[in-house]
Amino acid sequence: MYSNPSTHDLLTSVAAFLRDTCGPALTGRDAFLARVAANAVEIAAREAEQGPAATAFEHQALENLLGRTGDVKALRHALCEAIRSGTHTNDHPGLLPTLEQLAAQRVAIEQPSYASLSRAGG
Amino acid sequence: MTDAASELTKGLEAVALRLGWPEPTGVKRLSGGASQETWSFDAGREPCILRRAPGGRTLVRSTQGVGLETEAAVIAAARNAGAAAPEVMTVLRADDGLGPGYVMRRVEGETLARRIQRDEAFATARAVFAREAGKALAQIHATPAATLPALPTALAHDQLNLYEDAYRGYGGDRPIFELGFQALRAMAPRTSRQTLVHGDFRLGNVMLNTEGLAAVLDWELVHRGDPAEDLGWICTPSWRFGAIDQPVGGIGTITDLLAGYRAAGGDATITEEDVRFWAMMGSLKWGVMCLTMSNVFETGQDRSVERAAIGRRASEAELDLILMLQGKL
Repeated sequence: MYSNPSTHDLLTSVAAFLRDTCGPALTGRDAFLARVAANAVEIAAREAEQGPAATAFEHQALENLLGRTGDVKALRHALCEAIRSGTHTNDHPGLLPTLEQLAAQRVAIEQPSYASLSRAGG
Repeated sequence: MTDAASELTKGLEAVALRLGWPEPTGVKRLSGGASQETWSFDAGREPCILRRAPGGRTLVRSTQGVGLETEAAVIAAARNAGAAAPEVMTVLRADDGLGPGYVMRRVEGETLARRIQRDEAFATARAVFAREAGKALAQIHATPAATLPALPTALAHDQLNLYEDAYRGYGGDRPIFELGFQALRAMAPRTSRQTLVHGDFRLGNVMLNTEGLAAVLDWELVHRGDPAEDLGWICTPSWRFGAIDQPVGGIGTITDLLAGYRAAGGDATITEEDVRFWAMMGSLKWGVMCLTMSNVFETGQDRSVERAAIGRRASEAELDLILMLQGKL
């Protein structure tokens, strides 16, 4: 299937329209909401580009932490349960750095200018 | 004038008639406030603010808001006790046709975090901000219980239970929040401290003029609890608005905050560790609030882009929590 321009580029152009054309043409609360809308579309654009790799990375990381395979959702729940029950504690090898990396990846998609990203390791 | 503004003006005319005020003019909606509506107007030469439920309706609240009548009574009591609270001019009545709410005297100043953090005009205010924030909180916490309406009590463990229940209700699938609940339960200060707590004391809800702190706004989350909560919430990384090296609202230090607090008579048993505990609580609470926004959107209660976008901020709380758990923030 041909998909040019890419989903990312398509959404980026919509975000630019919302931010640069709609925003300035509106006033008060609507102008504010146009910026919020532009931000939301920019998240979707980054998600289209980086989301699949981020999810694949998360999947692999969860499998490594839990030592078993499964779908991402089930593994997320399993890790939550392992933490809750005390099977996985803060000193479990790789737990904190891996969760930090996963959180940083989400923030890079959802809010790339968020300042705390500068404190996160690669 | 928009439909909403002309409808609101009608209601305000009824209020003015009831109180013998001049006819309201210059009615306009102020932006900000996802859960309450704020309108500015003038009654003759009196600058006024109306705060009311969205669209005049009483909504079931996502978190533990106390209701606008109680909020008005708390503001009045705190102001009476000397706190930098706004002056409540009147509480709305059912026959005003505006829903629950109240009118207060408008205070001139700035609430936008970015301007407060960056504009040259606020250089003096920034220099004294952390100390003044401490002082303002000491005054609020000193409000005598006997002058206050009945309020919910929410100590650290109550809040952990409340937010954990909410988190589980949304599916409970965030490993970092699991670690957060566990760590915070272990860290919670053992204390019998209990005072009036503002509950949402942060940049955005405090008004500054060029000299310093002018007024404390947005009292809808008031409760009784550990006063250290208010000192910690303003240090929560999400409320540093990008300036993460300065814990107090991205402007000042915890040392100055506590010095201002103690100098104004605040509880001297509150330590920097207590403040850091409540700052971390703040990230966990904020994260769960973002999940609530997501849920409100997904269940169709509010399909606005604003709700949807805030839902995606849960990840910032996850990042801050995992950094704080490792002493990196």
